[in-house]
Amino acid sequence: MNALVPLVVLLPLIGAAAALVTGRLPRVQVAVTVSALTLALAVAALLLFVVDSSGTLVVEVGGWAAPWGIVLVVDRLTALMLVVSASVLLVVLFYTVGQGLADGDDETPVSIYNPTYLILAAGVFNAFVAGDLFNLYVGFEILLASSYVLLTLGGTRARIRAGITYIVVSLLSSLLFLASVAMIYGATGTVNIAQIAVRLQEIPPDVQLIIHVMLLVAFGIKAAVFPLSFWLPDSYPTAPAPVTAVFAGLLTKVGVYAIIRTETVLFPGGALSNALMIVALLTLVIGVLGAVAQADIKRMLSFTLLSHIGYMIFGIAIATVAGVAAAIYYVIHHIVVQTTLFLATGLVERIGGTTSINRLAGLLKLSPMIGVLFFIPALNLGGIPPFSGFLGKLGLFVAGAELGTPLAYIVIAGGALASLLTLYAMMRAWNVAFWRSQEEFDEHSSPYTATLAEAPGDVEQRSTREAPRLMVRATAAMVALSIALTVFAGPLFAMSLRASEDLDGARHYIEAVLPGTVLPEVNR
Amino acid sequence: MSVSGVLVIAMAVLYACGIFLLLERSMTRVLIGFLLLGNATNILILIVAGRIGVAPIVTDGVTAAEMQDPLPQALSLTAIVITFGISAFLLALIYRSWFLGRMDEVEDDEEDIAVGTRKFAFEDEQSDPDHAVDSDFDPGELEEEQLEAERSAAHPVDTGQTSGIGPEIAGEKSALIATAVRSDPGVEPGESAVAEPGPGQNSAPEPDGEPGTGPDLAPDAETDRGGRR
Repeated sequence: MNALVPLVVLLPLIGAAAALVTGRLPRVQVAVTVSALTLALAVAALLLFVVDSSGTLVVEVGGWAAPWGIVLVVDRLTALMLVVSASVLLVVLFYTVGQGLADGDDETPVSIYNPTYLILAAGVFNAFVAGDLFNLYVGFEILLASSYVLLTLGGTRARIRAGITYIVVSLLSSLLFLASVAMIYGATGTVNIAQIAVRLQEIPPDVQLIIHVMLLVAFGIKAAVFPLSFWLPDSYPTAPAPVTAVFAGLLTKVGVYAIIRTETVLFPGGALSNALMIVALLTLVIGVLGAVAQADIKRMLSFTLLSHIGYMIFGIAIATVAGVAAAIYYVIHHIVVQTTLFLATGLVERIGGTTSINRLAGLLKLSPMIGVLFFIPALNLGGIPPFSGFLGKLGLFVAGAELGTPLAYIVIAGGALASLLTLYAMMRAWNVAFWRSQEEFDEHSSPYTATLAEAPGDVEQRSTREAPRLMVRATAAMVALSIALTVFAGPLFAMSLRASEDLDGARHYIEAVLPGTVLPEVNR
Repeated sequence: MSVSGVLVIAMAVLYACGIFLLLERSMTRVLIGFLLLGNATNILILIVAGRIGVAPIVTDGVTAAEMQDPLPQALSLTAIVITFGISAFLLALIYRSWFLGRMDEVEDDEEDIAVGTRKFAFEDEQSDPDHAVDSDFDPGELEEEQLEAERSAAHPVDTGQTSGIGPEIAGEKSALIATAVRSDPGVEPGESAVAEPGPGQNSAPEPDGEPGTGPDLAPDAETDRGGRR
């Protein structure tokens, strides 16, 4: 079973090489890409099954024993993240294929797109399975390097401008992460996460605090947590729709995953919980206020993405088993629903020619199917029962109320406000773009929508009467997946709870990686 | 653990210079700043390796205690490769940006400017007496003011305040507009003065072979922005 773990990273990498070689044969390349990701998904699903039934898998790469060699660790959290991200990546790939087929491959250089996409997948998976900090850094770099290419695909002026902001900010966060890895090595003499967790307890608290803050800032930039989040709505919306969808769904969540690991395995004491709570509150409120001010649906979604990162940080800051479990469930929900919304917006752009709600009208009549595909995830994101968004928020609020500190209640209030305002923004987009008839649009202009911020350099795209069938189907598959998260919320939440119990106090993780380690009882 | 003081000083200087350059507007400087930061971090990794020893190769007569810790070297090698690759990509991107827009500068975020200049922002600048005072000398600046006034007349968004006012007052107002625009950190003319020092670094791709001439660049950028607003 252990051999499966490296496969999940290797398959996309081998697939990327094969896709690069077959660049001249688009059909073969698509087949190679799809099969590589399908296999990776199968391996991930198998891993989830194995890990959930028989416990954490640890692979010592190259046969070097744990603290010295590189380890890959798959516990329940990792396996869950692998399965969700692999399925999202696969569905978005189908969407891209549909788009490429429809456009005749003229505008997007697909021969580069598919290999880069697979390398992005490999980077994401590598970050999830990494058992030592430096490998995590390498995973981040792999996924970031391919994200740079995907974001600047085609090299238009708007994308170059957005790309440079994105790259410089990401580089800074990577260097900060690398510097903190160096500091940790200086303090503990190891980069193995489990061994760091053991040795950190022997370090003076002030040194611990410095390292803790450095790591959180580095991961906070990647996860787009409030004061470090301004690069995101600036850069994401300019990319092609499927790229934005994958970035929004996955890349920030890798940062959140890293924060979960930091807070549960490396620093389980919750030393910075209150600071994280405040940051979560600010992220929630400020992000959603940004969303309310946007006319462009893609930009609005980017701001809701920011805002909802706050929920996950809140769950992590609660630092109880229930809180982290709710955060894990929310991460899964948010990966799926945010990706779905961006895909649906891509469809809107195709039939409407724009994503600005000031220039969209009568879409429901034009395409009822896309209307439904937008409406369901919109309600889901807004937290309407019975969807997974509601369940995730409920889980977080219950866990926060159990903690019972005044700060937790304030964040709960902020979360409720953010949820309502998200719903408001989503429903405004729905009402104006889909529900409003074309005649109404021609004779009426509202002072409220006219003051909204438009996307800079927004150009009208050519619109088609009908969106390509494969794109619609891929979006429908994502919607189905998001509904499945609601239907199977019970088992999924139970699994999140088990994953969170694994993480509690880091004991399980340390014992899996370094069997026989004697843990001091005091700080745990 | 004893640490080489020279390394620490080198790291500190590299970090300081790197951060300074990273905050510049010129993208070539940002790239150089990033390279310096990368090197500083690599030196940091070497510093945490501790005391300096012999090469970590197992030979007769060398004990483990005398050897250098090899892991940080492996880490920094990996980091060097990654930094190298990313800077090559960034360089390509800068070239592309220069190719498309003849600009080696981080472009203004149009939305930021729209938010900053919409409605009240302009009035705030107007009511500030300090700006009105320091604009009244230097013929070069006057010329620029006229330019700005013309420009703002060409764009309805900017002229919202001046239209309907007599020519004399309009002139005065346009001076205010000029200062208001110039004091805006996001706009070129003020910027070019800051970007002057360091002739050595300016030799990197600069538009039109006229390094640092702000007013030459400004009209393009300005009309561009106004047109899309």
